[in-house]
Amino acid sequence: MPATDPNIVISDVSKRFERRGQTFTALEHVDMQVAQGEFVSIVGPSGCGKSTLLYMLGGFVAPSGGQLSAGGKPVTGPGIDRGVVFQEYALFPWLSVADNIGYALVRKGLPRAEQAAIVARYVDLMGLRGFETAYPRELSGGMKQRVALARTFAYDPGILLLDEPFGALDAQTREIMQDELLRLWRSNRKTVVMVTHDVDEAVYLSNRVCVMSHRPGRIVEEFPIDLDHSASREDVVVSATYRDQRNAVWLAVRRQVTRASGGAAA
Amino acid sequence: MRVLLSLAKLYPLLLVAIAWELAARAGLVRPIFLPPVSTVIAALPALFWSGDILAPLGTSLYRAALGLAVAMIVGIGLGFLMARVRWIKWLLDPLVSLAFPSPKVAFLPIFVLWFGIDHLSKIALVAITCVFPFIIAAEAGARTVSRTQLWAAETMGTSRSGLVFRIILPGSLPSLMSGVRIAVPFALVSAFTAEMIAGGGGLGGDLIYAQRFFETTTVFALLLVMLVTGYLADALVLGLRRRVLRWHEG
Repeated sequence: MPATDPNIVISDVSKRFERRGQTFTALEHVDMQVAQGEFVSIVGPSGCGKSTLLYMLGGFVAPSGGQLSAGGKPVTGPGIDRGVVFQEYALFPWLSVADNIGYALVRKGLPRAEQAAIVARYVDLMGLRGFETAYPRELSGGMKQRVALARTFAYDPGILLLDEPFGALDAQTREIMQDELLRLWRSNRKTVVMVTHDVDEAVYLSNRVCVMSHRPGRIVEEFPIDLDHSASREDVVVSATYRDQRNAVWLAVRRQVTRASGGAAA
Repeated sequence: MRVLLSLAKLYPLLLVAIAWELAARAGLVRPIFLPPVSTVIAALPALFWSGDILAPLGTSLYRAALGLAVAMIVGIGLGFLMARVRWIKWLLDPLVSLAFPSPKVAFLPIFVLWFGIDHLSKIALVAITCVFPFIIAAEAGARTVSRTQLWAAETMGTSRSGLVFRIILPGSLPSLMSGVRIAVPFALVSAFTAEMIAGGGGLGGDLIYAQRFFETTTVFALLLVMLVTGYLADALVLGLRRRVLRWHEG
């Protein structure tokens, strides 16, 4: 179970955008803490700013107000301590699968033999054996996301930020990849923040699910999740615990979506 | 077999050569205006061995290559900046729109005034002709590199210069290679043209010189050398493109 010291601290963060002379507020008064080794998901209606929040943790986007810190240091820009996996994979198409996975290892200046060993390990772990010399365009969506996950796990960042990592995959591939991710996470217990619009995915994978409101986005409800993942996926998904927790989160998201559509459904 | 097939595709050239030969042989035109193609080809070995092809060809290629290199470095640099820095885009966009379709050869008299009659004015003309395809290709190419690719590279410890050389440059290669394919013939044509107008040797200069003395066979022979040079240069670019873009579809 997660330790108690917070690894990620988000305090009173807001984000405002200017567009055509109009200011609109994407995020307001966002407060959140993630403990070392915790897997937290953020769900919410589309346009609630959940990806923006993740980009701020990644250091790609600066907040308009408030502070973010990761590993005890304020976030001022992208850093090798925070690995990011994007929905659109963001692979480097000019590099082979092996070179994509090894990219950060070369930047880190690891000895060649060590690089090759790590790449080989993640090629095996992710079922990419035989595709080492293939280029990304030769891979299916699921394979590309395997490479993206392997690339991020390979350089061993303490924190993982996942932006709708399986959003572009078909339902079957998505379930397989979720179990791969769960297996990797259970073996190394990294701190994970995942943004998703898929309530089932969030509940199945996380220790805690945060529900964001429609714009301006705030965290309005939090659900601790307690599932026994030593059981198989089938047993977990049909269990009453899973069903109850999943329904609670789904209803919370539903309330936000209804409010966003101007209460038309009420 | 493949060589034979690709040669077979060249048969329209043969038709043109036959028509040319027949027209000249039938006495339809005086040889001083149109020597038979066989005479032109027969003149090539002598010109070759006397150095009257290789020496001016070398001069022209030197000017074209140097101008191309300058255009490539400057053009890719400016194109990347235009893709990434808004005020540079704002500054250069109207200049590129004005200068790209302009007749660059009209600048030659000024370049001769500034840089003299020898290499430098020609290199300058080649550079200013070829810089625009590179600017346009580099800007378009840099825009194909996604925000998330740059972010991913940054989180994995890529330095600022690393972003340019490891991410934006390889990501722009498909577009850049199309730019190269346009710029290389541009370079040869502007080098030859500059030489024809301003003299100072090279294939273009020698061609005009031969014309002044009614050495029509030499004029045609040098013309053939120009055609073959352009053809080989383009084939070289296509081969290079296949090699560096193996990762890219198409």
